[in-house]
Amino acid sequence: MSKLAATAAWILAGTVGAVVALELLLQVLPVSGKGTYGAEIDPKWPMHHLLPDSNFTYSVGWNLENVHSGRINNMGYVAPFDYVAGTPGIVVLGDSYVESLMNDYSQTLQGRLGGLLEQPSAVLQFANSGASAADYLAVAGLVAGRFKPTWGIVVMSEGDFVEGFAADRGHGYHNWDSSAQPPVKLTGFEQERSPLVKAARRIALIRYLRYNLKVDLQNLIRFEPVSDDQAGPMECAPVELSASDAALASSFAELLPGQFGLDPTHVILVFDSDRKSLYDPKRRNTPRCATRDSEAQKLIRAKAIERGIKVIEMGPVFASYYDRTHRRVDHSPADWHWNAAAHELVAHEAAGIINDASRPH
Amino acid sequence: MLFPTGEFLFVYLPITLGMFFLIARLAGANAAAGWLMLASLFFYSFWRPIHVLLLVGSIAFNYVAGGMILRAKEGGDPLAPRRVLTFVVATNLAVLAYFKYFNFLIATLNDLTALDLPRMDITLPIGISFFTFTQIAYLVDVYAGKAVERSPIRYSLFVAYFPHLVAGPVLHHAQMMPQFREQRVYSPELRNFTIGISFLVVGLIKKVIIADSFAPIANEVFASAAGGGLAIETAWRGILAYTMQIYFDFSGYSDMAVGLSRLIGVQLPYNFDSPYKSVNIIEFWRRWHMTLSAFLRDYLYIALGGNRMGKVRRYVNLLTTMLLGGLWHGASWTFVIWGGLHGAYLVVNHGWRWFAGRNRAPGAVAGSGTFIGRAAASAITMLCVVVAWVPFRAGSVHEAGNMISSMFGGGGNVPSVALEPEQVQQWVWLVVFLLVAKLLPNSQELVDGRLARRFDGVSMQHARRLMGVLVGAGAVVIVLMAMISESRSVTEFIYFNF
Repeated sequence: MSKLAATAAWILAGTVGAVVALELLLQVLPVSGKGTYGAEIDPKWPMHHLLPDSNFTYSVGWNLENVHSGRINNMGYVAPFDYVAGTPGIVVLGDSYVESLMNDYSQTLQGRLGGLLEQPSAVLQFANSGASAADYLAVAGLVAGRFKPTWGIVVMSEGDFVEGFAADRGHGYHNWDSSAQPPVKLTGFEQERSPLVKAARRIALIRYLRYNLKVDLQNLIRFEPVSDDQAGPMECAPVELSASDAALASSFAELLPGQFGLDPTHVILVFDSDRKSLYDPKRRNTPRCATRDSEAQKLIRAKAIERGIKVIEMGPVFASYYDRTHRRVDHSPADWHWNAAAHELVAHEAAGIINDASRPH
Repeated sequence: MLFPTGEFLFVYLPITLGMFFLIARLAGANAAAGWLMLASLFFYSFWRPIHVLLLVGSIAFNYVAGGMILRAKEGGDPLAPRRVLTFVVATNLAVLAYFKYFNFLIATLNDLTALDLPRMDITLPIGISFFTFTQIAYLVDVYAGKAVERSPIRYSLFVAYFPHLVAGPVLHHAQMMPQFREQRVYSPELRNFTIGISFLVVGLIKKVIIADSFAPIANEVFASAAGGGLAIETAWRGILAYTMQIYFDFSGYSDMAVGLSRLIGVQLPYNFDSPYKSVNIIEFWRRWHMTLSAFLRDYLYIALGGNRMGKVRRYVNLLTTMLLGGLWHGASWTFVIWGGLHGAYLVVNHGWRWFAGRNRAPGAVAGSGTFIGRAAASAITMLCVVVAWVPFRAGSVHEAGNMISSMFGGGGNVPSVALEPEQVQQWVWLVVFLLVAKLLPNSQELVDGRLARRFDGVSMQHARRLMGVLVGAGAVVIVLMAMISESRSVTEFIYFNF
């Protein structure tokens, strides 16, 4: 073997050795993504959910902060108990904010709500990361077909309307479709994962890069010289909802109670707030620029109120809490998902509405 | 384009190095040096392309100026070289003053008088202080007969060489350019690669893992200090976090610069030598930002007369040098205060040495006493350095005042609350890395010392194996650091601002 080839072989050995050492180290560390695997095809529950009856590990960032572990139940949702068909109870829908891998179950909206109610009730959450308002509409129908919702709580976070148009969320999600009734269509059934994908799930280094570092090759290599144009104060471009967007947003508020099989007064929409402005005194009083999503959510809000749906605005609640305690309501800056304090505040707001409604007038 | 980014590590660096060695093989050393110079200008253009014109203009002016000084020396007028030197140094300083100090002067004038002079919209070209000082040093060296560079390409490479261009080390021509005349530089060597990658790995870890972890703590505390007083614990946590951040940030950058240059086979001077191990301020300045210290000593302190004109004048020279050194870091009174503090420390330190020597108490000179004496000297030195970092980091004199008073219990009626677990964790890490900085060997001791000696102590074949494995493993760590850096929203190196 030539000297060059021998050197190349030793370089390769060093590379492989370092990768193996890294993998061994990460295997014993709480790398995120362990256990949160998409479930196999299930025509009876054609909505993305996690591999049932498993355990998950969550952490955030390069240094594995905010470690949490928990159980995924028999239906593939994060809960320490199994769901039994036909159970009456309060149903909570949302995306990763409600799924809440970053908080202990007992500290989440669904984990706290039962304890705050004057009349005991089961609380079942059917949330998964990446879900949109289109999914909420579809899942409400699925849930009503298998359980007996007594109340429906839907948490709306930023992007929930426009994410209903995203084509890259994988299988088991719903996109907006004006021609359907309700106006959503399934993006595709969960597909059987290939053995390669299943094997990759076991590799801690891959999970570390994907979930903890959120590696994106496009971001990793960016050739963008600094512009010579001095950025002046940002001006907001006017945003007007298209007729089809407005129709979809209106349909959401119109159809949601029916999908749950509930009276509108037993449906609660929880709207998140602009928390970045909350923590920055300079931005506190500066309204954010309107976006397609914010305008659609504004319309959903208005239509929901018209329809008799209960609406909770978390903005003032979070602001009051932050002003009082100087504590954040999320895990920012590493992670902008709600923390235990935010979940507790939401739970109190929702419980207040439910308890009010259950008292004799 | 920052060193820890994917575009630098995975695209720019491999292409620049690969082409450098290929061109050297196919077209010779001069062509390879030309390529490296062009690649360095491209590297600089990544911040603001328009500023490349300034850099190229500065290089061209100073290259011509160097020639003028040489010709003046060959002429009959003995005063002519000095006149040329004075003119070109003044021109360099005027350009630097325009970009860096113009608005500071306007603001100061407005504050001192009733004037309301308008400020100008000037963007500070990155690295202007570094490439200006590097070239002033060259011109003085030419005047002193210590340097001469006749090739415009090599002169341009000396100034624009990408590993040191934007944040140093501040180089003498004689420290770098003779190496480019050696043939070994133009062919890749496994040993150089191993040492270079090892420095790069250490530097990346210092910057991405350590400095960037302390930055948010310091940022949050100083932001609070801008609004008012702080609890004692908060103020100390903030300034100690900055003490760690600036050391690991700048020494990490310097390690990367040394490592990148070593990949080519060119050895840059070290910029840090465990400064927090110092037992007095004089020693601190021999260990901190060593190339700037040497520049200030050689081209300012000695030019002012150094210690040749009596004790009082020596102390005045020290103070003047440090005040200007502070101002070099930025156009702000906070930097002047920082420089003034260090100047005062140095005066006290030299005065103490003189006093101890006069009273025949050699043990009183820090460094030669007992263990307890050394520990006390080390603690006092550290305290002085930490206090001086306050104005260096603060955004205003008011903010610095709030921090200093808070550190010593003058933060006002700030209720002291029990430490949160996160704050306890921050203190643990602060203590750990303070001990790392004070007790463990530094990068050059580890890489150029212990590691390099391991290669020498074994057979050639065994050394090649070891080096191969280290290069492979180092490459994995570099990729990982780039990915971690990207995930953390890369922060710029502190010294890029200067």
